[in-house]
Amino acid sequence: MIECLALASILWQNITEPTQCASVSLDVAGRGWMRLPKTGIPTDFALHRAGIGLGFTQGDLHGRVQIGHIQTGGTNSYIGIGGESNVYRIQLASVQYRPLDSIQLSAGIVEDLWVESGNYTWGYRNVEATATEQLAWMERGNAGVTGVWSSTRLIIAASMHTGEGAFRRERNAGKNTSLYTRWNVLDAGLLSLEFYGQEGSYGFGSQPNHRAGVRLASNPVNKSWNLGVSALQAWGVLGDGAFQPLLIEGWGVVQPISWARILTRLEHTTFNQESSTALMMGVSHPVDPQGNLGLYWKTWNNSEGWTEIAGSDAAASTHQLIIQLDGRFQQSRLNP
Amino acid sequence: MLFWLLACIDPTTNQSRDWIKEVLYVDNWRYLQRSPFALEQKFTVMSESEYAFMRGTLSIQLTHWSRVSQERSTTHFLNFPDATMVPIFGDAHPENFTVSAHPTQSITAEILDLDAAGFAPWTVDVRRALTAQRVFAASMDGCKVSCQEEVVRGWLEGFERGFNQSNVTLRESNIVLDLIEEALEEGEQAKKYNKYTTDGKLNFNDSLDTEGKGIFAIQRGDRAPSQVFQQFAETQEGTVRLLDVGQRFGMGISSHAALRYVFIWDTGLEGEEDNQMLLAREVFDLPDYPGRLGIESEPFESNAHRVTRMRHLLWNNPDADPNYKGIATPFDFKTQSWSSYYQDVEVSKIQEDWDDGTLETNDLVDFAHVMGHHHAAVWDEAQTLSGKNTRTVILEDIQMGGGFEVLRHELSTVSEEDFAVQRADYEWFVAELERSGPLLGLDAVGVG
Repeated sequence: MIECLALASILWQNITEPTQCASVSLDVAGRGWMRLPKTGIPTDFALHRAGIGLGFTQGDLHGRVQIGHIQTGGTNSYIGIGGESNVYRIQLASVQYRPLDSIQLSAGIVEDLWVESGNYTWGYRNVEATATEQLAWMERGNAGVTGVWSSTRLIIAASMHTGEGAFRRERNAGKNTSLYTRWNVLDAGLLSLEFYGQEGSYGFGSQPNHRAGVRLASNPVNKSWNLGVSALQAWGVLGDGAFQPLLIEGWGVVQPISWARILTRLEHTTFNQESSTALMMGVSHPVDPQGNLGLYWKTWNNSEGWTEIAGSDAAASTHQLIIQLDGRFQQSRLNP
Repeated sequence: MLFWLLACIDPTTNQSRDWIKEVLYVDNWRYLQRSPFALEQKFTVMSESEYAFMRGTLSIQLTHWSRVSQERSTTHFLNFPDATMVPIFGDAHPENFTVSAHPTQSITAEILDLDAAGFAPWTVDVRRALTAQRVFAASMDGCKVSCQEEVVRGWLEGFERGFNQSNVTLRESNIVLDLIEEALEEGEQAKKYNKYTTDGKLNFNDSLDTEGKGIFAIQRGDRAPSQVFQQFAETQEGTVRLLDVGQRFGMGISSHAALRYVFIWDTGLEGEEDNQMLLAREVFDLPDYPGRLGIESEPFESNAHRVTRMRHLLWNNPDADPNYKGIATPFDFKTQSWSSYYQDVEVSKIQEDWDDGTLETNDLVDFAHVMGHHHAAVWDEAQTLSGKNTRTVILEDIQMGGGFEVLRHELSTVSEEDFAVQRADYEWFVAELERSGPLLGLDAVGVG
């Protein structure tokens, strides 16, 4: 079957021959949740996701735009647009050029190589983003350029970008440079090993924004399971150069029967003997072709020095019960 | 030398402070986009004293308290979620303490400025108030560590008293007593009104004075003041006439660059007998308070609604200023009486009285005691976000944390640490203004 990869990550596009095609996609997820222990507003409904993707591949050129919603106003603001409307903003917008079969160049708001590869290997971005994105350590895109060399076994990518994410202009004279390598140890996604490194700066204060990551993942094609582990060391987060945490993630998904899938993610962050652990577990009913009706439980456990107010017992352990319906819709057309 | 001295005292004070620019940017980007000059003025005012700097940097202090990367003292309190969502002033520093002596009201004292008020952990409110007391005391020439300690202790004693006695005895403080006398005397004389008006019209300035203050005619095309006044007038009964309006510059510290309008209005009588001045100022979001639980979105409709609602929760007399209103059109403003019947503490005046020997340490302590007492007393009837009695929730939290003795010890210790950090932040800020320019480099790509 010929597959249109116009919306695929640049790190997974050279797997097949390029095809002239166009794709549009829509990711929507709505959820209701309850927070424990109960206080304030313990239950609520939310639009969790409303992403729109648009991609074209024509000859050696490829264009992709990904937009996502944000609710204006927000958790700490009354200054919204038209009340507290949801508005769209660009997360990714890049043009790619393939000068050789094995090489691709990309410019614009290009993919963050670690975040996008994390989304791919996890596979359930509609349920939960990976921790680097949730914790706002990194965003999906940055203004910059990327080059990728691909072979069947090995993918090497390098990117130079602002490091300020997709929603801020460059605010210092330094540029961020990142390198990504994936070794497809076994065929068809059965086992891959990824390495990532970033040297960079963030914000007005040119604070360190370095990363080093490794990921071992099994994401086999046409199988009913995937799993993986990763570690990411950060030196500087969001302009706080003194914050140098280590994030370890593990995840697993299995679909033992046709109408039920079990998902779990563990995210453990440590710094200076303090730590925070988030565990998400859930069961979902897969809805063809790419939807889920799921029930998820997420629990956070923080050490004494990790809570926002150090020592606050109230914040040491919190939980969230989520019920969510999500769907991914994609239409592709060959030779448009 | 200072660098090594600070390094020996406390490693926290000697950390890189470049992250503070991110906090200042988030706090001030609206001003930066609208009027870089106004923001320059704000930063200049903040650099003029430690007290002024403290007033302009609540968000920085909150960030210090929530940074995992910073060595932090752990609290014995905030043991259960309701304790994290009580109504707080946010910024209960001495210059926000206002005596209200309007003839239509009984004499009260209030934290009149509710710009930072919201639902948040009660310890955050207390900790900020203690930092303010310590910086206030340190602003007096010769008030060294033991003097500052006495002031902090005075506030804490008053705070504890406030849980047992809701009536605050304002006259126990000479500073407050002076404010009351001043309010009655100058209010009667309509001193402020006479200073800023002639024949019922505002006295406009040609240029800002040496302190950057002035009142100017409204710029052509600025419809905001008329919309704000119309909204205000709709809340009043009977005739309301707008007699004059101007734009006011140079007030406040944190809100120094905010839009302010001054109105002269009356109720329809001939002559100036019923003329009043009204001040309107735009209100922005409250700071990002750390440690709040159970809140995914703010519980008010707007900032205008927030300040109006918090007035009912946090003022002893919700009608202490009957003209205090939240106005949500065209964007969020608050209005308040601009009258000599309302007298704020002014650090510069206290310093003068301190320097000439009129005030002594005991006076600072008594004043701190009244403010601490007032702080706890307002929680007597206020409700938490969950609708529980705030006093009951906080008392339960204090008991779970070990009681008032533990509270006194903890707060006394952290306020000392906070003061050292605050002082180091100020040193950094002044030096950074010198190094990076009047906007700290927030207006341009930094070269680092």
